[in-house]
Amino acid sequence: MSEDAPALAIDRLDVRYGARKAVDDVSVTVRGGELVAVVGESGCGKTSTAMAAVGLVRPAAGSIRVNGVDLVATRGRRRRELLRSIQLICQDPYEALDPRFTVEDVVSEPLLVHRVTTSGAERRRLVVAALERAGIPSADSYLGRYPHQLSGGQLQRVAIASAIVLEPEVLIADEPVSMLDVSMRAGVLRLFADLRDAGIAIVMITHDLITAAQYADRVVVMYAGRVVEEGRPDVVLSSPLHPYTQALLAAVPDPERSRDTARPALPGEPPDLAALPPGCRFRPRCAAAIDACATIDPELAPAGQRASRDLHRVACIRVEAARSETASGRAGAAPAEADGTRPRLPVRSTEGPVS
Amino acid sequence: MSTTTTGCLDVRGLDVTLRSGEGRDLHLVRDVTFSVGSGERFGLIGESGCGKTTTLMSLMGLLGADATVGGEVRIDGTEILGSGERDVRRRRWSEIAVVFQGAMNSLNPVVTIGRQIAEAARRGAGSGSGVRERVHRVLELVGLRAEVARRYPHELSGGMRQRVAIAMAVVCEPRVLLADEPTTALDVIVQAQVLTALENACAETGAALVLVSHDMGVIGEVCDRAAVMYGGEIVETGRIETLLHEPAHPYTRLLVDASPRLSDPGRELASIPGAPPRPGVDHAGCGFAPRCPDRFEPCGSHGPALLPVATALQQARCHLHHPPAEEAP
Repeated sequence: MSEDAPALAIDRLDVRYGARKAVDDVSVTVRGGELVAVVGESGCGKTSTAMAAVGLVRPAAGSIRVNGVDLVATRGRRRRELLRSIQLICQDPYEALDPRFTVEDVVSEPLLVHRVTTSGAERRRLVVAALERAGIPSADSYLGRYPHQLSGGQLQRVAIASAIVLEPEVLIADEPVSMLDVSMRAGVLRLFADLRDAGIAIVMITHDLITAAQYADRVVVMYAGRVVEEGRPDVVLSSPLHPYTQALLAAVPDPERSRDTARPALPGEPPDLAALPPGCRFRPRCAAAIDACATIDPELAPAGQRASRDLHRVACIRVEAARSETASGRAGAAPAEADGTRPRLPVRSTEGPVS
Repeated sequence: MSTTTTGCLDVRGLDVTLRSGEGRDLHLVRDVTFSVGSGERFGLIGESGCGKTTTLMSLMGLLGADATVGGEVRIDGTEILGSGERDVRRRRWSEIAVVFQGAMNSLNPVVTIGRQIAEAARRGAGSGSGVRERVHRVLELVGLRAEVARRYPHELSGGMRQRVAIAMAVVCEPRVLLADEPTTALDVIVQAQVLTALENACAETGAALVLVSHDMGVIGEVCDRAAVMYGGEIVETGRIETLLHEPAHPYTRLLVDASPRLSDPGRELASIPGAPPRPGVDHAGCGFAPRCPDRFEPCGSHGPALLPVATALQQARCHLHHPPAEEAP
């Protein structure tokens, strides 16, 4: 266990379900005290990545290092120890909690499984501390309650308490607020930000780019099993480079948009993961695609030439082309990428029937 | 009570009480009044348990014998509440149709899409000829190719199946289309496709749309006007721009502040302390008072009425705008 190793380092991860490549060569690094949001539509591989990271799915290739130790290569007691430091929070707290378990049962279960203490009093102390840390006030009075006696927001806080009671170094939250009422969401998201500030490495899986932007230190956009763009949320939101990220942003409902302008929409469906198209897997839906996109499978590469370049990365040969033209002083038709004016590729809107 | 003019769908004083298993009465919907014109898009917004789905179910005549529905519901001036089961069946789909949240999962897995839509088409009056053409036309309307008619549900994605459900709902050209959280389980890109399908379907058939959602962004983007529901009641109604920029009810304001917005992604989202009330439980005073940051003396004891705020178009159920003394006749 090396001192400066990141809390979680997923490297070149592949997850397959039969012929389907759910996750294809994905690398994500999260340090302690960092909150990384993984964004994408259903089927993009974000949940499979999370499942692999907590050891629930066996990767076909790649490594998952927790504090420098590879989970994939570790067995037995050592693996159980490792899994203790990386905890998962599920999307639906209504489903995740057993209706016959009290709050105390739910939160003390991980302590029993990992045999943390034999003292009942000590166990109760840890449970109460975890509940309070998860934002349940006067936690003592909640110990004997059952899930049906709690609101959705309280249920999710209990689920979070059962994840942090083991003092993990990494938390993976899969759409942690999408099942909650709007009025409860901000509070739960704030809690994740607080846990991040307390030094935990957090991966938050979401399809809500706007929320991700507000609470995350870094955003990772996935499409069809690949990372297509990665960067600081303010940068990715204000100047998304990948046409898919642009489409994702354009699809966010905007009450301010005029009723007369057509809703921008991405036509078609994500590709069949068992029969991926050659070249860029977004090409069949991309309005900016050129011939080369059908043959070149783009790699995730730094998007800027400045100091911030390691922060913003994109997998699109059109962006690379635009950049090299700018670099050689032939900006021409390609939009310039300097100080905030980045190439913005057109995304076609749906006109007429698509399937 | 309402000052709105008669629309295509007119709901006045709708009241729904459900007899629970223990013989207790749950008052789920109270005094709900709204009106939607032909081709107009009206939103019902609120958190889980606020009564929005129960309102839709009562309009469709889908609540069972344990429910008592009071008030008036008119379609093009004809009262539909209290009519016999045969009338309700005749009217369902041909005059008033619904798309549910899970509609995409309720298609018959062993029947082709085309046959399912055709079956729906035959439910309407004056059907018979040209069913095939009508099937292809509604598929096109929701942005699907005609060849989708030959496919089975499992061959389509969730978003495509939800668009098929919309096609089925509008194939008989109903006067009123109800949609209950039609995009909630879908991600943003598919959501945009489904909302476009819904809008096109209504524009083409001239149906009055009632869209139910918990998402301010979705309601704001699709609808012209909306009603905010809380604890079984409408607490505010008005034009979308008014609700977003000049909300009169504290709940509306908090709901707007709790919703993320693309135009202002850095804004700290509001959260509302406490939890929504349990459905159907009676309360003294204003239902929102326990969670309201602006509550004052009368809120705990006197229930406010839904009254006009600035113009007749905006109404709010809040003592801040109408202290109890003013309400006395």
